Amino acid sequence: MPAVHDRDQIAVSFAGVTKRYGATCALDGVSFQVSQGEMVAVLGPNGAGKSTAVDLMLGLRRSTAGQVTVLGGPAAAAVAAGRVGAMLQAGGLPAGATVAEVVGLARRLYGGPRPLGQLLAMAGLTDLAGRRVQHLSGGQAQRVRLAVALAGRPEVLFLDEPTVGLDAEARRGFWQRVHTVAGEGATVLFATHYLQEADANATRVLVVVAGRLAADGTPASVKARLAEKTVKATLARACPETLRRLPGVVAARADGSAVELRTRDADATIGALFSERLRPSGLQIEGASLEDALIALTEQASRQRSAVTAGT
Amino acid sequence: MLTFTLFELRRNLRDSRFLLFLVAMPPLLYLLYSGFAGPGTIDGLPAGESFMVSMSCYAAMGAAMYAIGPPLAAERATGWIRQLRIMPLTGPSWVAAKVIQGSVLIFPGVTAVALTAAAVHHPHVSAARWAALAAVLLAGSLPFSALGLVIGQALEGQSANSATLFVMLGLSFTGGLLIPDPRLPAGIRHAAQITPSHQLAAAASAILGGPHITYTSILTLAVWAAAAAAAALLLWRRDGAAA
Repeated sequence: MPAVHDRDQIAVSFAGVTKRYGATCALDGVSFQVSQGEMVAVLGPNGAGKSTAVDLMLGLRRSTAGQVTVLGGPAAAAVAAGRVGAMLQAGGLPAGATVAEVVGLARRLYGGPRPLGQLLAMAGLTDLAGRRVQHLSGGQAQRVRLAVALAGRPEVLFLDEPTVGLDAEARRGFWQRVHTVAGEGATVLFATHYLQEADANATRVLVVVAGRLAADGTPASVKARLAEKTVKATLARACPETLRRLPGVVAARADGSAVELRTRDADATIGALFSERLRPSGLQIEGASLEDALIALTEQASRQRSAVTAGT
Repeated sequence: MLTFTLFELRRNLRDSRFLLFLVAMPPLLYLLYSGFAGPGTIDGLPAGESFMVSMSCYAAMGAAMYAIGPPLAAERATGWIRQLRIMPLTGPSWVAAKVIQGSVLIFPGVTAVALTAAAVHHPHVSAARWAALAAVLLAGSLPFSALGLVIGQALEGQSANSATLFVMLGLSFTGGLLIPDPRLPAGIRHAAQITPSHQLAAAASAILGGPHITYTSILTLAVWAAAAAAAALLLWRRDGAAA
């Protein structure tokens, strides 16, 4: 569990936060603390509650129970004070305005801590300053939204699925810009489905599954929690049923004679492959990826849910 | 707040189709409905001036509502309003900015009406009275701007368009702008006194025909403006990220 931090250094905290929409429970007793300067990825399957969590952090919704604190006070207060910047999923831009006008509006609303020219340059928009927003490509519009998010020199930056629809090069450019801002001391929280991005950019990962916090730690620790490895081999005979019964095996997949086994005990599994005379060749052992971890946590959560339902 | 008003107006002015709509819509709607009812004549005014009063009120009401309502519903759908809400723009600032924007946008339509009236009816109106009429219409369009804001905040897409038209027609009817006042059934005529359209028409005709704008007119318009603005503010603040 993360250590308790000095109160002044906590950027965002959720304490027993629950959010219900009628009968649906989007978030159930979620608690975590993010210190200033951290770069945190919020992961989870669709419908897990990520977007609700972001809405709560931005003061767009209020929790049903529990407390959401941003920079020492209610989320809405931090937003009103201009200390928060955000890039929203499917955030639109006002048709008819130019890039410079939109970024300029944001800048003026935030009190103008950075010169307009610098903001445009930071997002790579200098050449596009006079372009109307409806004539921008997807990637260009994304950069405008980033400039708007950065306009107030925010202490906390929220990015909700920020690189959807961007090509690889655009994504790389985006993260470079974000790291520059993080380097200036901003706390960054981002929700994403691109798990490699989370792995590459986050110092901490929060996994939300079915409204609960399923994991909280560094990417490495979350992956290690699984203590699962993937064993790949080519077998003379590959019957998934037999494979699943091997010691340690959690899941088995066979594609012709090529098999992929997810196992909790790689050594025992490999030993069994030999002792059962399955004649494995081309053995490969891989550590769990963040994607495997996420899938496993999701499965675990749904197993727990069915256990609870069955028990009642 | 002023920053935001100017921002909105600047991009409105670039949208030529939108401006054309604001200019053409009031006369068109008027002609459409005066087709079956005859142009509403305000008591005590010669036909030319009466026509001009009705039409310019129609222009002011329609422009204010249409300029604010449907575009807001569309912008909410694109997610821009949500982006705006997480910037340090307070609810009251936003409501004030939008209401002012709507009022400013009546000018294209009202000017078109005035020019048409001048060309067709040659009303005898001094420059001072023109100015006073413009001022009254500007101030009197605030409640309609606010009503447009409420519609745009509360409804989505096509519903916002339909609701704006519906409210516009309803208020025009009770304002005596479609069917002349004396021909309205007694019950409706009495209820119509408290509608903003009726009082706007009354104020505008008082400028041209005297004697003076009544306190009733001022109060009615002010109360409607305040109530609609309050409703818009409430909708902005409601617990919901959909906008």
